[in-house]
Amino acid sequence: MWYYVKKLQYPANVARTDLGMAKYLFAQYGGPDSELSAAIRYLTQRYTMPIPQAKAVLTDIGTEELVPICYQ
Amino acid sequence: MYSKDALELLKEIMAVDFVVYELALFLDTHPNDRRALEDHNNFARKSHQLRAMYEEKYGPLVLDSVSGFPYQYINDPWPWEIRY
Amino acid sequence: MSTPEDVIKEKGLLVNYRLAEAYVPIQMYGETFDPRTALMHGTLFPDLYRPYSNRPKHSNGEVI
Repeated sequence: MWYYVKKLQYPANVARTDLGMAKYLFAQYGGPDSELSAAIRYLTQRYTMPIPQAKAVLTDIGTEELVPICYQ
Repeated sequence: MYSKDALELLKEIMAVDFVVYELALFLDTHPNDRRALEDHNNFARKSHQLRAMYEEKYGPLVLDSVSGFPYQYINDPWPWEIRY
Repeated sequence: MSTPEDVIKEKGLLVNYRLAEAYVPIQMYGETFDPRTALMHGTLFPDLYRPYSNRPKHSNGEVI
């Protein structure tokens, strides 16, 4: 399970609104090849992994893929 | 009011935590690398120290941190409201 | 000074590279960036730091 930590992974400044950019970002967040899809894929694939290294790395990169979602 | 000191400490925590995560990912697939593990442990220790220092001065970073009254976790600024 | 290739041989990881299969070289622990630089570069490892840039082009205009 996960805890929210009151910090960003990377210092991002929101400067202005931009609908074109928002569309790209939305695709990155939630689209078919998005961070969210990748996160869920890794976190599901880990259950079939035969060795500890693979279980660990899929758990941790799956978690890391959730980071951009937490920018919000 | 979010001070320059608070921001500097937060940025240091962000940088150190990034290194800890990178080393942890490396160790996931290289668990027998002594040098990497030593670096990981040193940065993990540093992260704990910096977080304790930050939380004591500027309030909780996580919801299970001990808080004064009233509950400090909800205080502004939230991470996306800060000018880095 | 042992190269990654030597280490791989020592550890008996050398495979017979067959056609039509993909291989990822194992990463060795070497130089690391300092924390601030690592965060700004998006990686702790100089070996993995490959920023996008305007790549040089062949005279026929193809990207190298």
